[in-house]
Amino acid sequence: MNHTPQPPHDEAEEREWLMQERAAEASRLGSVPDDATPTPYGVIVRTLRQPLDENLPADFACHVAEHARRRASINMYFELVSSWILCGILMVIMTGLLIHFGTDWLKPIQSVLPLHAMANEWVAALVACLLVFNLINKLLDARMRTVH
Amino acid sequence: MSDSTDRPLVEAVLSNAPGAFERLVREYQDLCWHIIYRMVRHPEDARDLCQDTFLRVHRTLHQYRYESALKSWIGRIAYHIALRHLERKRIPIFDVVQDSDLPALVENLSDGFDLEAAYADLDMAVRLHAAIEALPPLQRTVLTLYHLDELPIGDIAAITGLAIGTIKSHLFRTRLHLREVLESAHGVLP
Repeated sequence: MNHTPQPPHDEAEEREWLMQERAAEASRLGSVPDDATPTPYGVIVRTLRQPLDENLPADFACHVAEHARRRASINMYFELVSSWILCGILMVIMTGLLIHFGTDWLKPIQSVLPLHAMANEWVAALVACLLVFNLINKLLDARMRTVH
Repeated sequence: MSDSTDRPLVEAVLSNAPGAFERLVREYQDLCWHIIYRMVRHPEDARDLCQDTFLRVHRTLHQYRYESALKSWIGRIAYHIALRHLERKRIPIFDVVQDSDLPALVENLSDGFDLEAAYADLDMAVRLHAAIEALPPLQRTVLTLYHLDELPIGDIAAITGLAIGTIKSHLFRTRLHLREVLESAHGVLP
């Protein structure tokens, strides 16, 4: 398959090509060529312009559109489930980190935020969790909007 | 369809406007069918491959960058899906014709032979259809896209990924071959 055929290049081939093209043009316009010279390609071109013997069913577009919609909603469902699983894993990791390093982090936070409520490390952890949860929800909403 | 009509349709499909994708399929299903059916020739396979084409279009439309007409972009997907199907079945997509065969072929053609009159004979029409069906997939597809779909040679080149000169050559040689088939069937050629 390494042989690339070349376009017509000599005079006889060029004449033949012009004859073919004249027949194609005439068939497109539904007329005879200007110089009315009969071309042997007329019948060939007319045959090539005939509709194919088989066609797609009449409801093809409707059927494919429905198929695509179903497939997209299945994909979206799996994406949603995967997102929730990833969020769950993230929450577990964050909770673990908070439990492990929470007291170390709380001291500098307390010094910056002199709120009494923050003095309790569990309240701070809860606020952090709620913030993360809200953030993830917002991200998921934004993703859903782009999918729809 | 042009960029001005492609863009609203693409944006409607991407924003999941009701009926937009069905409209897109309706708009391009004939082109897709002509490419795939001419390539694979098997109606059942061609229908499945057409469906695969539009499902891929639906999945990847967000990657369309308006660099070519939507028609060429969809046509290219259809062509590659058909091509892969033929490769899997190990069916060659075009004949290797030697350039040296051409001059002899052109010289052997009769100037005075009236194909129009010969075609009136039903047997000749059947022969011509059979000769078209017997063409290799690529040549058959190029002829259909050029004559039936009236695509410019540049668009056919974009769909098939072949050079414009190569498409011209396929058109030239294939039509010459069909002429030769008809004339030899009528006993004009040696």
